Amino acid sequence: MKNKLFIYSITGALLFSFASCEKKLDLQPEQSLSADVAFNSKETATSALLGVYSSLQTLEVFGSQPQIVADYQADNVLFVGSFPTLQEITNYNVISSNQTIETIWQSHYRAILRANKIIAKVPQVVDASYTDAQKKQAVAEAKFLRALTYFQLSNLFSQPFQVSNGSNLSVPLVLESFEGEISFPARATLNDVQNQIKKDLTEAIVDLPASYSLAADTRGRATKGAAQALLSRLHLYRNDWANAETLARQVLASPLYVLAANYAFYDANTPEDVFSIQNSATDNGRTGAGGWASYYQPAAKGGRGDAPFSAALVAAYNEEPGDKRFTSLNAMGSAADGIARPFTLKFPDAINNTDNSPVIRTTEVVLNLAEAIAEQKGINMESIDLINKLRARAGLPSWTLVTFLTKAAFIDAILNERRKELAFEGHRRMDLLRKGKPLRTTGPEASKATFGGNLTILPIPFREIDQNKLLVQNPGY
Amino acid sequence: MKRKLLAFLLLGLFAFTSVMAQNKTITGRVVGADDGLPLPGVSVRIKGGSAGTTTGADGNYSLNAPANASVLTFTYIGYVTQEITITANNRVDVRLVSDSKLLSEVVVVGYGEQSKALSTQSVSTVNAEAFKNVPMTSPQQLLQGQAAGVQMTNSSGVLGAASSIRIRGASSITGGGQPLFVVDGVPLNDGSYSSAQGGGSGLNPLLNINANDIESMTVLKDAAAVGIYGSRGSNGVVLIKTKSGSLNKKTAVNFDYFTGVSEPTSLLKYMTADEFKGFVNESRTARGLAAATFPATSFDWVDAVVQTGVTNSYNLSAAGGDAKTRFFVGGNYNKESGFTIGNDLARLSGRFNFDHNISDNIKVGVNYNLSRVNSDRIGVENNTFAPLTSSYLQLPYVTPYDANGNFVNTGFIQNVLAIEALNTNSFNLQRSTGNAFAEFRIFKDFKFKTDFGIDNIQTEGKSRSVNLFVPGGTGFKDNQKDYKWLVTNTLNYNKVLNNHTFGGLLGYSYETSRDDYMAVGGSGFASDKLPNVGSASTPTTTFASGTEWALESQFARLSYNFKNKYLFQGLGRRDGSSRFGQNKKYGLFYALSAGWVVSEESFLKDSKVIDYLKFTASYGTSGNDRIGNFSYQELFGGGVGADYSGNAGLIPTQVPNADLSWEETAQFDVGVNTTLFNIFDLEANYYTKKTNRLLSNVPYPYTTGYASATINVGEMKNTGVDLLVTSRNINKTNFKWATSLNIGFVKNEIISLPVNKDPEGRDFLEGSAAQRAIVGESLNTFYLVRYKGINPATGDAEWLTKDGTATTTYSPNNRVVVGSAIPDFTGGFTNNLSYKGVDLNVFFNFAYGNKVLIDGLRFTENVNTGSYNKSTDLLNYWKQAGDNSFAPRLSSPTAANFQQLSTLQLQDGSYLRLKTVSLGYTIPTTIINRSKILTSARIYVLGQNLITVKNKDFRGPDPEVSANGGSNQILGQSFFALPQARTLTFGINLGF
Repeated sequence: MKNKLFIYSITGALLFSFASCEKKLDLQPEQSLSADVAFNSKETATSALLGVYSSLQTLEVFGSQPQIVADYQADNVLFVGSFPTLQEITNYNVISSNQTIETIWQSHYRAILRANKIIAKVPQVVDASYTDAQKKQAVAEAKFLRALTYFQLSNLFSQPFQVSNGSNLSVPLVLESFEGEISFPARATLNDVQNQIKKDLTEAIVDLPASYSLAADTRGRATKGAAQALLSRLHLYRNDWANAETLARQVLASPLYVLAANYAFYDANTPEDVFSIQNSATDNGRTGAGGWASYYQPAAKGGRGDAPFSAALVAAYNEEPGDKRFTSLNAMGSAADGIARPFTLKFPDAINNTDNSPVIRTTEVVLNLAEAIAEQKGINMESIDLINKLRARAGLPSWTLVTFLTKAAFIDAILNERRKELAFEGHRRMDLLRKGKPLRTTGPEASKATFGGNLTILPIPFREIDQNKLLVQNPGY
Repeated sequence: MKRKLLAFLLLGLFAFTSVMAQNKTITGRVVGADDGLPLPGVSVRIKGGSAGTTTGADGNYSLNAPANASVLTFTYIGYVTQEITITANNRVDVRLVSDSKLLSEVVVVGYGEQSKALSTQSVSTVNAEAFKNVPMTSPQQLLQGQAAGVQMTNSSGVLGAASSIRIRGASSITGGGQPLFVVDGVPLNDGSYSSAQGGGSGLNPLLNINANDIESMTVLKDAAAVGIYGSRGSNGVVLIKTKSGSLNKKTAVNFDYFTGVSEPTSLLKYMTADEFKGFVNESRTARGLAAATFPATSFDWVDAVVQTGVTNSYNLSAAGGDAKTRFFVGGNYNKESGFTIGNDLARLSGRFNFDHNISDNIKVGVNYNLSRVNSDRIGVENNTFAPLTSSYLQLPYVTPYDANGNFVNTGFIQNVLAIEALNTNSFNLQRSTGNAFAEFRIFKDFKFKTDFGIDNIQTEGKSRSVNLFVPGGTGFKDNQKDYKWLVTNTLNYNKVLNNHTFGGLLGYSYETSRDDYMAVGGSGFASDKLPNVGSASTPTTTFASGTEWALESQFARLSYNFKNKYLFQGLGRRDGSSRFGQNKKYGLFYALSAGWVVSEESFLKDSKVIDYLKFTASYGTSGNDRIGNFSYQELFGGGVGADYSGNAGLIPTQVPNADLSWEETAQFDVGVNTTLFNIFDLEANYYTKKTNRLLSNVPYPYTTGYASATINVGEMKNTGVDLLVTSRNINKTNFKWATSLNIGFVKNEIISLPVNKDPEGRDFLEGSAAQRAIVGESLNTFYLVRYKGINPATGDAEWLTKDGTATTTYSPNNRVVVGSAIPDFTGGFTNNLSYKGVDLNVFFNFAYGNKVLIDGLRFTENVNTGSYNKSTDLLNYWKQAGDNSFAPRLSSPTAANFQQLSTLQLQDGSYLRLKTVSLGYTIPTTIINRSKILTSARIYVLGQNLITVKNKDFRGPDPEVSANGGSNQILGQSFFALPQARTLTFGINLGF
């Protein structure tokens, strides 16, 4: 009897456990949403849009690394660090499997594809509270971010417009949302890529707001002004002086954009900022790989001290002693090689890497305008007046109509001002190349750093060529 | 439907057993004559009749016999058969005398035990004697060189780091390589539980288990053995059985203590400050650059971080039992300091094992282990905060102190002396693992067992960096909890009918684990004296996450043998897992095996040569479920990686795949097991293991926005031979000498992979920049540019192009297959000698035929850089025509690429190592007895890693490297891994 009871209870226990399988195994993730949920409301769709901004914020997109890579190729920054992949870049000794370059490529396309998803999915979101105007704005923001990312990517991986009027190969142009079907796009020409950037920006200008209710958004999210300023830069890079001038004037006509009185505007969201990526302590803290200050600050400030001023840049500032862009924006510190060297103060926070990324500044638009007019009219008072505002801010004497003898000397001087204003912000390389100048004139690498030189642009990552047989490597790699 | 089927099945089984006539019931107990331990599975039969049974785990039996039965026959393989007359009280207790020690052995198998001689499973067992007193941080180290077919590589000298263990080769590419560890029936959680320290190696899964508590470790190898673990068996299973007391035995108390010192077996070369300054300026001058001016200071960083390591271990245990109860209580305190500064680990653990027979039919028990590990950690190798890594790279003119003797900040290659002195980097772990069970003999031949187990892990990582390194300082703390529980119900059936022995196992288990993680970080502290994140002014990390998984399984095993000669076993398991995609929720696994005990045949029964001979064969499947918890869904994630300007963001993180499921390995095994002249035991197995549906991170072109997707695609094959030979050379009372050799040969080949062609048209999957899985080659194939050497005529470094012509241009386009990180064979060789009270144990282990990549050489052999220290090998650079130098001409353009990844850093990884040697003396009992307290006493000295034979050109500290712990994709690579320690310990074992 006792035995039977056991048998029944145990068989029962075993059987019971066989019954309720499905429920126990139906677990769901707690940190993520499924794809259908992500685009079923205004809130989640807006978050997905902000996710694109977050993708541009990473170290490898606008978090300093591509900008540093460009600066290591040019003549403003000295490399004293220990990363072999960066050493290769500064020594013009890059191999196509360079990990830093691969990650830059990867991160740019990741941002682009996330923007593509917004452009494809947001118009289909079914949510009564999500107005058409809001959807259009979201799409416009995504287009601005896509244009900005393609612009930087094409600058790094293709020869500038000036080498062959844009007929050369640039990067693959992917405009669709990835839904699981792998495609193997070939490289588009630079003209194709830049025309797409132009198209995205032109469309975005229509739907973007001039400003937002919060200063951090007016400076940190896509605006009409930011799209116009970026388009002005694109025209400048294509020697399209008239359009560069028109768009720069449109930006500067807005009361939102005013030159700052001094150099305290970094990381401050002032009218000096046209578009600055907003970084916080949680964005590039312990989890991130660093940021601007981790390269540009010495160890004592919490950085690595990898990127002090080059001797050439110091010499350039010393052409006119007392230049506040040097005197008020540098400090000596122990560099990665243990030797005291000057470091920029534009990105002071190496502890939390909260410094905003200055992508487009009012100063740049002023310089665009001055240069575009000068290219069309030669030595002219309007350009001189624009530059004099910058020189006054730097504590330097004004130029007059007789300061320069030739148009070429005048434009060179404007570029020299551009160098000193925008140093360490990632502009120098393209500003030299688009003017047909070598990236460096001294040192063992000068022979490779010439305008149009094979090694002045980065190799298509080896992994990508392995993956996609349609990709053609840049010559020289 | 399922229910009905099962009910019928059970009813059928019951009916079968109850039709027998019942006249009188004979009961009794069978034990071994030499040790008095119960013998399970002994066949008990009525002489001249058909009734029979087998003894249970406790040696008890109960047999229904006809009234006229008079004599019982007790047969058990490996023991002398006995016939005993039934006495009036119907109780027959027997002490069986063993035929040969080996054959009486019982092996632990999944969900039970089997007679080793009659088992058709292929397993390797390491018993406690093999590792007694050997200092080790974790018991898994004792698998090294002790079990054929188990390749174990210590991955890192960081105390507590996971090792690389492969059983019969790797069965997975991305799904993890660790076997499933099961302690007293509880499968352990196997997360990595380690906050990033800059390396790929996680936390050792067995860190919390005291080796002294272990009775045996059994490695399940073939399908007949691992199949019962279904979707978790394909990497092999390691069953750990902990110690128990004995019935009716006086309580034995043991105290063990050892103390020891350690030092690195070898170090890399590095320049002094003078050598460095001289070399850099010679190089600069040669390249037309102005000489640099260096500070006049110098410091030997390597010397400053290397110290003498110290280990102390205390172990106290008690074991015993009365007529119904057995117990074992063990406690251990172990404290270890590594041979580099800042690398300390202390473990406190306690174990309680207990079982009690409530009646002849009901038994209850519990096994419980509670432990705490506190460690002061260092960065793992690929981290400039790792003492040894940093000291190799630190510029030798940089000093740790300023003129006033205060620590200084030395920048990216940070002042590790100051880090270890001022910063906090601790990792504490608490783990409780155990199970409680009740066993019922519900009917004569049926036993039901219900077992409830837990494995609860809690970790706490804490780091704090002071103001010197980051102004204001930073702090970080994280906690992880991984709590598992499982329930296992099994029904066992054992029946002997004349010459037929039947065994059956039917089981159900449900297992679930929840993992919660929380981290906080901040920066900006008012003072270095404030240790906790709460004092920081800026929060930089606030993170919490949770995830869980569940596995529900049904399994069955049936065995049958005829006359203990012809053996058969069949098993099956059905696993449903929350990890599998909706289209593949359930997996079925099975295995069939058979054996033939030839020595039981009449033509061999009286052989003077062959004492025992068995052939076995098995075929079956098993799987690997380590595919991540929700890898099958398309996901959008939030958090700080997706937010922007203080607002919540979402980013797509994963490509969907509803077909995602386990990896499946089909294994075929044939084996022979023999004892010759009563001296030699030989076990040899040949196997082929084919894994398909390999989980691959199929690389996507980055232009899709994703780096890869996880898909079941690809096939891989391992073929090999496991060999174990033991010889009892001399076996006299006062003089014993035994030798044991085990070797595992394995050949791994990738059969197919997702489409991803290399220039030769072969599909591949990249593990690292140097290593990849290639179709037609092994999983761990080094794919590198071949370095040719320095041209004596020109002083240029030369590499080979793909077709083998010398070139001075370094290009990754010239990469070719240059070898494999998988050894052709690994193994161990042990000699045990004892003469009167003196015992000597000498144990070698070895690996042969593999390559290792010492990646750190890319830094220390960088000719042109002035950013970090270099190897003195560079001083041997080309100066004039005819020089056979190590390094190129300093003015050569090739000097800039000399250090690029190539076969220059690739080394022969073969080695033979005197792993342990111990010499002990047991004090004679005549002396011991005088003490009235002690029952035994032994003292010993033990050395580890005393001698290493390696290739004479080896330019790394240690050929035994595996920087990436349990990773299957990267094997035999080291950045600046801590070499293995050479240790010397002294210890005592006392019995009371």
